[in-house]
Amino acid sequence: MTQAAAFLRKITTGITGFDEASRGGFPAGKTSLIEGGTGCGKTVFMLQSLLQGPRARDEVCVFVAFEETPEQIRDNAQSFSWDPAALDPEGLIFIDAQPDLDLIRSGEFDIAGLLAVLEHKAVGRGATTIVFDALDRLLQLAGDQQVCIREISRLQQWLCKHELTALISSKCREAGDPITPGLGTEQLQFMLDCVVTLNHRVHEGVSHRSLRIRKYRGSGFEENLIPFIIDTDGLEVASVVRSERDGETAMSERISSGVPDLDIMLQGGYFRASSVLLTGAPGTAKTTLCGAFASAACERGDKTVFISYDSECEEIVRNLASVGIVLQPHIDSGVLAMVSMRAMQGSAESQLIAIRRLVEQHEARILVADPLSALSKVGNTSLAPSVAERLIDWAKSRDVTVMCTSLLEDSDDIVEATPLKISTIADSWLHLTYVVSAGERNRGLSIIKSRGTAHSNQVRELRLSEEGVALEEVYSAAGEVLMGTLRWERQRKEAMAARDSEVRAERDRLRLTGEAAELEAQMALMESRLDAKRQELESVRDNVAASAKEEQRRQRGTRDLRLNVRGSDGDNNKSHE
Amino acid sequence: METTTSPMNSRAHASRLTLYIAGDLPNSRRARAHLEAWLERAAVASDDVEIVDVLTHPERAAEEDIFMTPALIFSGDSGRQVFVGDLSDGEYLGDLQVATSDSHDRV
Repeated sequence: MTQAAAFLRKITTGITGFDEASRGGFPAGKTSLIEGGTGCGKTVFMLQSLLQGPRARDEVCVFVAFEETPEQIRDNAQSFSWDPAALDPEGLIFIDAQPDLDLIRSGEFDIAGLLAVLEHKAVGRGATTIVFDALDRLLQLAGDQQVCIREISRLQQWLCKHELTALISSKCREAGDPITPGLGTEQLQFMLDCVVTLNHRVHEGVSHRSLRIRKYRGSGFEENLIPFIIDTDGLEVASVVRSERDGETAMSERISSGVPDLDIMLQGGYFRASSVLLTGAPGTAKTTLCGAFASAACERGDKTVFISYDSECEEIVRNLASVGIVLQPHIDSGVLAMVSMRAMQGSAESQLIAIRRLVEQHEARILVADPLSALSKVGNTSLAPSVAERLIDWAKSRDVTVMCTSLLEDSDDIVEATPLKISTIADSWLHLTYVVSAGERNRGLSIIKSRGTAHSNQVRELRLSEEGVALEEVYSAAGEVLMGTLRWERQRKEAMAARDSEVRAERDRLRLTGEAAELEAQMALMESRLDAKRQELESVRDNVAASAKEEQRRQRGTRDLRLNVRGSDGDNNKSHE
Repeated sequence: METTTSPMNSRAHASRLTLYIAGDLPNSRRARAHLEAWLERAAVASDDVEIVDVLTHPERAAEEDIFMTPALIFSGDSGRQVFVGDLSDGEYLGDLQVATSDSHDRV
């Protein structure tokens, strides 16, 4: 069990990204291979690993150089910003092992001499770590695969015996193939415990460096290609550790967007440590919203880094002042750091590292990158999405709130989201558009998404004025959201229409009341006439009845008379009845 | 031919041969045999050759930057010539003969 523990012991290199990817650095007491083509940074990588690793812990180290003189390497090391104390000759022993120029090889040889020298110079002085820079140079001389394998084994045994940690560099092509095949240098890959391949390629004129851990016996490691850059601080390896996004660490604190109306729309603002994406065509006030956000952050006292890829800082400060966003005092007080990366060339990776460094140096809690889509400039298109993603991940892991903008030429292209494809990982996504109608362009703002927030799904009109940024209330009519003059016109038209209809209604009411009154009057007249008619009819009926009675009476009178006249004729009358 | 360091007379020579070996490793053993055979052929006195074992005298190897063993160093007025390997390739030793003949009478 103790063996297993010893097996897993590692030495940190002080190169954060690499230590993360290798889960703690190179294997201690083992031999690791660093391979790569010309100019990949093998020597720098190993130097830095020594100087910021064991040398920083004041261990004695040895640097065996097969291709350069110790002076060249020392000069090289001094050109970086590393602690020169680490180069103290007592602690870092250089051995110039360049083969003699006029060397004649006659038959087989071994490296026992080298080991004897190392034993004399290094082991005796308590060295813990040895670097063999360009060991392939020595192996090439052997010119025989069997000899190579034997000598590598000899070296390994010797290192193992003395419990030394070793780093060996060897040249190879991109795929890890040796420059000169058949010599056995490729055997290094199989024989050593940890193999790291460095890669340097130029894509569309932009330099891209990356490293990959090809193998690591007895340890887990990051297997993907890890980008890195080399600058005055040496290697800066991209971090591969993804931030944890569990609910527990999520912050519920809201921070203002800098636009009060927008804060209301967002139920109080953005979440702290969230990422906000602003997309839109040029001139849709992306930078203005960034400025408002930065300004609000500075007023709260949050240290802020504002990175502009588009224009010079002075221009932004001046332009934003015209819409009532004043940044200069914050710059003066040191709360706000504005950096123009307009002139910055290089890979997306190096820009990411530059951004990270800025944020770290400034201890910023807010990061504004305008526009982040600048990362995907020529030569960076393939790498930029992951870079943007990592930037957001990294920021989140440090509780930094990120606002980035992305140029979106075509507003219909929302499905395709952003060139950087960060729309999926951004927590809030605001889209800015121009709404063109009736000869006017009006800025529209809509919240496409805002995680954890109930938000309005309507497009609002964004109005810029000297007083600042304001969002106009949604004005929708007939299924359309209206803006600008159209909104004003429509509002006015509707108001007038409402007044018109009121007047019309009153008029109608009056007219109808009149008509009704008239009809009522007519009705009254008619009724009285009807009454008269009825009375008349009544009287006519009475008369008729009266005259009928009269007639009966007369007829009866007449009959009586007749009866009286015929009195003798009684039987005939009976038969008539 | 002893595996010890520097007989004084050898150093006094204007030119000298030094064979660096690593103990009893096969290459070193072969190199000694090859060199001895060659010395015989070339009628060079074997005590003119110094043999240094880097395992017992690593400081000598460090001084002379001997990293590959065996190594035969010829140093003379014309400079320093390094032969690396078990000296099995006699062709190269012929060069050495020319070099040494400057300081030794040709037989």
